[in-house]
Amino acid sequence: MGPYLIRRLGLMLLTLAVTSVLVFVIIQLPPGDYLTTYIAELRAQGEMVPQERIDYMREEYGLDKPLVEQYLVWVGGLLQGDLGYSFEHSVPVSTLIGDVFILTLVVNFATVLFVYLVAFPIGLYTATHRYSVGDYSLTFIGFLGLATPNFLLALILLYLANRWFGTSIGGLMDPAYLEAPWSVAKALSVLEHLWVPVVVIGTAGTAAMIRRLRANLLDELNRPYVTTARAKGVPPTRLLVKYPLRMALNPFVADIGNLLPQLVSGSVIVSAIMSLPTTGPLLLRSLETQDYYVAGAMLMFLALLTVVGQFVSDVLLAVLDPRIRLGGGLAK
Amino acid sequence: MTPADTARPRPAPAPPAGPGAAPDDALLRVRDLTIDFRLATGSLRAVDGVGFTLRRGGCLALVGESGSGKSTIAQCIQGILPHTATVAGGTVTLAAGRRGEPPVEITALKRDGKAMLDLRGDRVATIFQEPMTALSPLHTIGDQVGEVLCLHKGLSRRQADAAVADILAQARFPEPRRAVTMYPFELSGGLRQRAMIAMALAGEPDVLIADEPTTALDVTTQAEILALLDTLRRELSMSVLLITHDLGVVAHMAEHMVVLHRGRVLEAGPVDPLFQAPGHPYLKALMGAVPRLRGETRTRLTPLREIVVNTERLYAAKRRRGTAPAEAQADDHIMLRLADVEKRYPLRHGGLFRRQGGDVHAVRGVNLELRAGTCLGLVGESGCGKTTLMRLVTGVLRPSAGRVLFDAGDGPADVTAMDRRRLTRYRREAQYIFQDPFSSLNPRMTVREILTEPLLIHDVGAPRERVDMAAELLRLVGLDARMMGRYPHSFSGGQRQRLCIARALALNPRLLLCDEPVSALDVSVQAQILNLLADLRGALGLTMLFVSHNLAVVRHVADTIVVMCAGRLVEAAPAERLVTEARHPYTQALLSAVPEPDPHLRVRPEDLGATRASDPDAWPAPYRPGPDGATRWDDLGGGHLVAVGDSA
Repeated sequence: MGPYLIRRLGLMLLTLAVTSVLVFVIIQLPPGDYLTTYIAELRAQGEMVPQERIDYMREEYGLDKPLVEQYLVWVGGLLQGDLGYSFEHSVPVSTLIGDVFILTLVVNFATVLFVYLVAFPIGLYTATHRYSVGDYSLTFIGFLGLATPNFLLALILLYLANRWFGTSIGGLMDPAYLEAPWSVAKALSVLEHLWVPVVVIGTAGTAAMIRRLRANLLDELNRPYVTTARAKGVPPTRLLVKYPLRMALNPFVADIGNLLPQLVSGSVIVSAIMSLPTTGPLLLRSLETQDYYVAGAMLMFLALLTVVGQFVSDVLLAVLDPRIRLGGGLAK
Repeated sequence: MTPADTARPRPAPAPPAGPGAAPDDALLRVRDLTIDFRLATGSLRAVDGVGFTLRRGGCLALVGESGSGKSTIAQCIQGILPHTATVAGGTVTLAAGRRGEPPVEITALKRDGKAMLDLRGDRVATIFQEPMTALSPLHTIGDQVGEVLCLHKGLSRRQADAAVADILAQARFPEPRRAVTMYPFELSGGLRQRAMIAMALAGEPDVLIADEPTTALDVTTQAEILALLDTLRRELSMSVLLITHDLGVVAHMAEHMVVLHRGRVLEAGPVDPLFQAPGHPYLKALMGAVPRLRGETRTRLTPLREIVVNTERLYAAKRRRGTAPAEAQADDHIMLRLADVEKRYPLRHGGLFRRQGGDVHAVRGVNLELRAGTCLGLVGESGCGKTTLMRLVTGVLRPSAGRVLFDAGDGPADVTAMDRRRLTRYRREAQYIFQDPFSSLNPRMTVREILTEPLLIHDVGAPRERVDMAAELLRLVGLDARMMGRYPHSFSGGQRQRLCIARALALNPRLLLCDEPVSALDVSVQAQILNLLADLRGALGLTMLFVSHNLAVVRHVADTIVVMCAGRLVEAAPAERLVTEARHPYTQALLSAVPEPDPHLRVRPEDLGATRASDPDAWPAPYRPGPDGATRWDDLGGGHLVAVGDSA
């Protein structure tokens, strides 16, 4: 297990390094840089910019240096926790996107939790009570969840939350707290607003997971080893949890790797509709204006999530399944 | 025999009891047991008024084909009937136990109730058929065996682990302490079955149900497991209820037998007289269907339901395609020749430094000749390299050294060196029949699609003709041409294997490669398929390479038998001679492991451990391979060859 982990970590770092090169190159690909975009905008407004000023800014921002050097400066900064400086907003990138990232993570972590907490009991119930009234009704609701467009659900829930609980529409907190420093009251306000986006973003995932868990469990419930355990006299509930459920977990654990980045990038439309202060809109804007460091930091963040998610799911799989843990080396 | 004969209701026979058996000698009484299954289409009576008695310390066998209800009875006794099954009548009672447990009526217990849970695994335990799937792949052997102790003996996990090692030792595990922390996938099939036995033994049950305990195993492993069961039964004075379709196993293990057919008891009584003079025609038929090692060679097996093979139309088809069968039968050139064929696999270790461990020899130095129109039997245990050898012959695998030469009558050609066009032709000339008829047919294709696909791939005939040919092929294997629109799941195991044979014959091959074609089938169906293959071979002039782990089966189809062990050929002889005059210790071990359906020919358990000889380094002097692992043929005359070490 030890060497396996070390090798996996090494591969992770390598993947991130390669990704950073790609990200940097791709951001630089469009002709010009932030300054040319900026100057073009100024000129369009009829302002004249003296050449000295342009040269000064270019030197100040380090845009006159060779690409390799710019890259090294950027990556060196990343390694020290310095995400760079936003040209457009004239603030450090970390200040610009810090809150956004934290809120994005809060929303998505809550969504994952919601999906698992709701999907597992229902999936278990429908698999063990197959073809019962409960199974049919839950299956029906699940299909409704799969079929309802997210934005529609978002609008309905926002309206209902406002009607019933007086929650302000849109955003992740009451407007009063927007510029306020973090406090208990602000956190409570976030919690109050959180459930709507979580339900909206999570519904489709929950419905899909219920279906998959049910199908997986049904497969496992008929396996001979379940009969063996019954013949040993294992009580039904304990049997269900110890044997088939454990086997049915594998696909879900394997899925974590896809889940993390998908949740971060997949909720753009819903974020736009509910005007959530999450990463989607910011990333789009920074790419348009060639605000290198903002775009770079966000893309690297997505890459990091993907790689970490993949790593976590691989490690969990190895912990859960001895065939992967012990047999992996032989099977190759 | 028609179904009407067997379906006639008969009163349940009197419980078989030995002379002088005391009334309280009975441990398990089954009375008028009737079990119904709820189906979407109505209800199905799987067990109909069955009655028998299992004596303390005795071994009773329930014998029957798939679908006879024998496993359902076992499930009822174990208390694990599926949800869809209900006991419609009758009782199953278990007398007082050895440790003072009160008598209990199993059929009256609540499903998954406390009393039922206490019974399962503690007083009644089952050894299941398929050791590969009957153990959870995610839990250690120690966990799974120890679970019984935790549930029924109140031991803690830690105490259980220590006790499990003792139980594994009792099941003759080579390294019981190590096995406690191992997972099932790290063990061989035989060892997994031992783990299964250990699990059943852990609760010290009064009744041990062995549900086809050896059907999934090799003949040699089967002999070991049977011997172990027999020894343990005597040591622990358990009663064993043996569920099997294999009369050879019955003859070796049981004292009494109950023959079941379609949920009813046809015949019951002590084993010896029943084997000598089977009364019911069904039992007689079952006996005739078992391939035997001794007695006249080439006796045609008598299947329960004979297949009528219709070859006339096929001849017509063959003539249309320009190869008359008479011509094919006439020549006897060497069709297939393997010259010094080797297949090595590099042993890899994980990590950056690969290829440290040297090579594994899957096949080493194999020389073989197969003449046109003959059948060569290749015998060996699983893992001996016989399937690898077959794949080398098909050209799916490439040999590491040596040549595979195929001659269709126009000169030998090396299979590995064939160009595209020759290889396409070769694939028509050599066809494969797989072991498992359940997984070798695509469940999403109809029979028509399955049978016409090879014709389509090789561009034979117009679409209309292809369907006609498919119909002919179905008739050829004794199936109805009207079944063409069906999917494989609506066929039984034997019918599916017939479909596989029909598919293999679609391209009018010269060479038929049969890889354990009957080992997944019931004995009665096995006889049917073996006869079909023999008939087809005669009618179509086919050349066959027939692989099996069971010498008795091979003896019935092959002209010559070659025995393979650890990648080597160890003995080759005409079929009859090999069975009667085997020289090589490994061949002798294989022969002694086949359970003959005759109670007087029981293999003594103590012989078996010693005769097991699949390790070449343990062979006695002339047969032990040289230091470099090489062997050479010693010709004993009459086509009888035996491998000896170079030093001899």
